[in-house]
Amino acid sequence: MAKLSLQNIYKVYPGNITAVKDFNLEINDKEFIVLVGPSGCGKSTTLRMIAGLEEISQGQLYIDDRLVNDVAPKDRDIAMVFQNYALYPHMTVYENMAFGLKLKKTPKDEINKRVMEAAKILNIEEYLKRKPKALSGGQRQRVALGRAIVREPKVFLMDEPLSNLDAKLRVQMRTEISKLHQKLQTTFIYVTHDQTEAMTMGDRIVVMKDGIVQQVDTPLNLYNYPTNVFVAGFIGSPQMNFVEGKLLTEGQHTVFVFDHNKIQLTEEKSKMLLDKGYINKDVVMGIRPEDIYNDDLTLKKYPNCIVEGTIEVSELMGAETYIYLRVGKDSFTGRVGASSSNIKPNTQINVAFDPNKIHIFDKETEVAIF
Amino acid sequence: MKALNELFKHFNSSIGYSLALFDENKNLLIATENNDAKFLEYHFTYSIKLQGNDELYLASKDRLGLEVWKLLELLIIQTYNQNSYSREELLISLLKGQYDPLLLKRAKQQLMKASDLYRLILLKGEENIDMTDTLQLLNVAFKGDQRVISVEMDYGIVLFVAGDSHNPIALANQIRDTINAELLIDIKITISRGYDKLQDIYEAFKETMEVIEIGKVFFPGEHVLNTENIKLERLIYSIPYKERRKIYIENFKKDLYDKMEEDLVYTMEVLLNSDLNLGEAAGKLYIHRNTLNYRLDKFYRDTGLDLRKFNDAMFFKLSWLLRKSIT
Repeated sequence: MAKLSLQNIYKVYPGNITAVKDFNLEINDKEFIVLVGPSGCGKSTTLRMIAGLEEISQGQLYIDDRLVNDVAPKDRDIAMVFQNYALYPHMTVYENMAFGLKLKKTPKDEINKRVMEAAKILNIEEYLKRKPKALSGGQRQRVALGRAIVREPKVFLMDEPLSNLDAKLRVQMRTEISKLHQKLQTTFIYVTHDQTEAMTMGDRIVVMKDGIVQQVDTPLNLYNYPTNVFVAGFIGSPQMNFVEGKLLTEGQHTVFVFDHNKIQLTEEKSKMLLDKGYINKDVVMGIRPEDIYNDDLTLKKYPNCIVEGTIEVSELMGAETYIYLRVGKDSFTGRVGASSSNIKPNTQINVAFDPNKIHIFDKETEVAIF
Repeated sequence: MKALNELFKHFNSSIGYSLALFDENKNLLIATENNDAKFLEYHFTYSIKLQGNDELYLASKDRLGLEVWKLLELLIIQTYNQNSYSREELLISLLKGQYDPLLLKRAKQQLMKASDLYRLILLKGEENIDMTDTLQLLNVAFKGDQRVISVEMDYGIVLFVAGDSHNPIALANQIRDTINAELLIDIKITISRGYDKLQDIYEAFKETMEVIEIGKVFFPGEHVLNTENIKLERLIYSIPYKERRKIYIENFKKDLYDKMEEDLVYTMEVLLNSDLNLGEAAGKLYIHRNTLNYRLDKFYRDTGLDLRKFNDAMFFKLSWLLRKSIT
């Protein structure tokens, strides 16, 4: 159990290549923090700096109020789990879990106690005498976690531990790791490029891009209130739709105009745009696929938020249908009811954008206005 | 070979026969007098059968009596067997560039077996890091795997990987992750090209060491580098530093790159690393394809280079690598 404080952390490689820029984060004791972002965004580098595997170029890292910048990784009380875990094939599960402790010259009794406790937590007691080849994928993954648990660390650091697993096992292990966090009541810092993993596992998520933290928030807040175009597009699947257009005043209302289409914004949002001086300016509008409707009820509810488009493709996903809609030169993805699966390509339809769920971003800075 | 050499010196001084020992292909291994001796120069040859179907020829200019021959045969076989090396010892000798024919022959039998290809994987720890635990971990990890041998050299730990059943990159990543997790130390790993002759092993070793240095220049944040994937960087690095600097200053707009926005240059690098595939690059950058096109237009306005065209892209790549190599 530990809290961490990362203050103005930088990682600069020779040649002035900056991998992480001014990273600031307070991680609470027992928190499950997820660092997420595309490849090369600096998330693994940050994790490795916390571990001590990468030197911190600038800034301070505290673990439980102790400055650890110059503390060796083995003295930081951490354990790591990686993507390319390898179990020793000729060793039993017990020996695999004990091996790291043996290298640390831990007394035999202590090793035995820790391995048995970890096996109990992971429900692998009955497999302790088996060799890795006699285990299923999920059981092997649990052994890999067991090797970290036996270290009894204050902080678990996980770098894409599920990336090499097939989709089904990945979902299963996602739940197992969350359960493990609850059982161990320890601080977890988890790196992934997969926004679904981030959303389902983290207490809070840190979204990174180009070495810079874009937003730190709870999964729900990230989804509902992204701070910029990048976060809005990165979190959510299918991705949020974006379209460039202009904000104009029409009578008492503010409308977002793109191509020949107009979307009337709510009073509250209009006021915000007016206050911030965005009227008559070019902006980017964002709308999530599930906030696009084609049912009569919603079309009647939002008559000033309707656009007409051509269906290019529709995909029945079971409980819902994804429609890919062309509106002039722009395209939108909608996530509508399964009954819409009979919509054929090349047919014209009307869809309504929920004005309460519309996001507007500054065109230059890509920062969210709301 | 050293022991056999001693034995033959002894024959020469104590018996006075002119003798030579040849391998199964009639290549000279040792001679009592002439080190350039040819097989046909000797009138009498005697076959010596060794373990594992190996055969040597003892050649003499004089006929040997049966008792003398039997005695010599026994001494040669015993001395030859004393010369047996472990796989690790053979590998260390070869990595040090010791290539005597007997050693090579044994190495081929013990290291290559049925494989016709091998690679070296070099693990280099930070300065002053004791690699003993790392070697122990590798020995445990690959215990029973006849295709992998690990030895510690002054520069780092070398893995000899025979055959192509192991994907070298996947293996290197697995080794790194395991060492990171178990020992909490970091290492750099480089992978040689595939070689088929053990005589080239010293070259392969030098190659892996060179790639560590190249990595520091071109890929400072990377931990696993495969020689086969950095051909252009090796080519640039082979040009002496002063020459590189001269070429860069004389041929490229040095100041221009200094002034360019970091984001824009990063975008162009991603495009080059995506083989100029706009869709792939846009995906990696999490930007819309149109945004990428807009940035490419801006880059063209700033530099006169349109990276959608191969020649311009190549020109930018070379200039960028040269720049990296001198900063």
